[in-house]
Amino acid sequence: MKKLALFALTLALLCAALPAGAQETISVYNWGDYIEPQVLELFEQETGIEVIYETFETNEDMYAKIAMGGASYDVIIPSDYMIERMIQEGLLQEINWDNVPNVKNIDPRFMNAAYDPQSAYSVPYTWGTMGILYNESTVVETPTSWQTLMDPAYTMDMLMLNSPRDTLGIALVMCGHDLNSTDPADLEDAKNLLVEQKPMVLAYVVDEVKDKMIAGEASVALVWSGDATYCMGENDELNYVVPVEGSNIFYDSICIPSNARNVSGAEKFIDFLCRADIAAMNYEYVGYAIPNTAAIELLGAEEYNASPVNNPPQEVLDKCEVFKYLGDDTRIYDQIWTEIISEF
Amino acid sequence: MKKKNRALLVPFVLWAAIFIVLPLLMIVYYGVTVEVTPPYEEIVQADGSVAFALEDGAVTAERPQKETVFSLSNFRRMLEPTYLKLLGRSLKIAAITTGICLLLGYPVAMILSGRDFKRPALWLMLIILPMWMNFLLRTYAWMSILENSGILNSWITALREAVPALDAWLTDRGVGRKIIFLYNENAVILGMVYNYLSFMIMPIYTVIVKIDRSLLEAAADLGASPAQSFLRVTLPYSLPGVLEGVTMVFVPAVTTFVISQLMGGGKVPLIGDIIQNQFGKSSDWHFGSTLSLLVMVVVLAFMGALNRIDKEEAAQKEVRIL
Repeated sequence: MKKLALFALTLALLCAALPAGAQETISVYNWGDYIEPQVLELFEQETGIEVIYETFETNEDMYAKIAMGGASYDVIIPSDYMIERMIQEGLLQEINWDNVPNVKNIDPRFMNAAYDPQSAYSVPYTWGTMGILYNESTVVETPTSWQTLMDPAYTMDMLMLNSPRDTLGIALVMCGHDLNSTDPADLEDAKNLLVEQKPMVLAYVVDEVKDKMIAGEASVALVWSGDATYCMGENDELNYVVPVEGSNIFYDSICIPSNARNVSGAEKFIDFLCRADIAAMNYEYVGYAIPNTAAIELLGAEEYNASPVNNPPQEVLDKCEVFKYLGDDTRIYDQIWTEIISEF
Repeated sequence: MKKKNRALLVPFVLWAAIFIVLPLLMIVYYGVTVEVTPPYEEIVQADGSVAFALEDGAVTAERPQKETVFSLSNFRRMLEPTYLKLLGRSLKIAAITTGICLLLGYPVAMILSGRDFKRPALWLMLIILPMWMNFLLRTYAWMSILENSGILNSWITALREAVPALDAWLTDRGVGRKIIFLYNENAVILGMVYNYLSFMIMPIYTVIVKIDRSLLEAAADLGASPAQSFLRVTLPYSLPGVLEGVTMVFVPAVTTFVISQLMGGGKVPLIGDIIQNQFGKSSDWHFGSTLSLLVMVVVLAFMGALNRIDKEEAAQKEVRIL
């Protein structure tokens, strides 16, 4: 009996191993929890191409793995500033749009963004903003401006992001400077503002912001819109606003690394992700705003646009900027941030 | 036979070389190098193509790429007050944590090793058992107890509602509706003590339990009071356990970053948090490695000092026995 089981097991393993060698595959490298798992199955069923799927935690992790040449992927989904960096360093290849007809579904206002001005290397997958998540039952008034984060009414009642680029970027906007400024005088202003704010801040958090806001730990928090969607789903009293002064807008976009092995497979996969029904499925799972007009129609535009996360007013959106890749200047941000949080 | 023994060492030496020595060398390499991109300007040439002008006047069609060069500039940066202050705070918090763990842990170890203590194994088990759970979970548990919207605060609120006199008394003293327990240094110390206490108890217990009881009996026979026999017998003999416990608490406490982030809410950054940032968000492995080297030197110096105490004490012990 045991021998039979062993034989069956060996046979099963062989069967699993054999076709894999002959079958076409693509390897996809994406953020954790950032795709509806069924989408991968559907793609395999429809095209017969097997997807080898891996995930990363941060853009920097992904970059390190690709830049060090340790791995070859066919499709990756980095964020804007990282795409800019990878284009500069020759790590991405241009996409042949003839093979990705569904790119027509993408809203033109999300194409040709600053990180990829000709939209030659990337197609947006999701987008989001930074804004204020607030608890309607405890705020003094509905926030509309970043000045809320300087309001003494929220002393020890606000959460900020423990992230140099994001928090300093917003502080720069609050001071009326450019979000991507590397001018020492601008950064000094931003630093002074955040030092002044520090006694009012309950905590500098990253992922913990979700649990804390859902539990009602603070009234206002600086958050990414994706986290806001999650929190608003868990607690009805929470709402989100992109302040009138403008904010950061970010994109996670689909790219093909220059050392991809299966480019035609990658193009098929990108085209698949841009298909309306697939993008809609993904939206329902991931929860980030999508640039796919056809998918939004499929989901019901009215319902989709009712969310302040998906649909900030166009005039506010016009004032939103992407983070640019700052190269060696990233260090200055880190230095200033360390000085702010270690002030005691 | 001897040769055979040496062959048995091969796997260990290989292991040590690949997973200890090599990574260390890499940290040193990263620590003494920096990445720089030569400054350049993008220019559009007459034919519309893009070229890159370097500072020395050279023009290339290829975008200049960053290169790794030898530099000690990260050491200069490391010695700036910001980072030294952070290191100082890390050492202070680790020292306080170690002190509290010792004050709490030593009596526990002594009581457990006492002759008339029933079922020490069960109690040891109860001390170790929580450590089988991931320390992140345990720290999150503390957060949900101490948060403004946490369990402790909800009990206090309930109590104040039930006893108006207490509520009035607290309000008079300016205690707010919610007491902020988290997000300060004390919360970080609490988190560390809780997580590291058993690392203090275990080594002290194992040493005390092995002390020859006849020594204590002899001390009593010769008229020593319990206090004297503790000071002259138990304490010196348990010192190796104490030193080991101190090392096992102090070293992780100096280098931790998760506990300070979670319990301190990012407002009590330690040197470990800053190092972690370098390998994460700030993506500066070079400076992160330089800071790691600094911490390594401090920890080594600390362990060297402890080792010395241990040796001197051992020498004295021999004298005492003679």
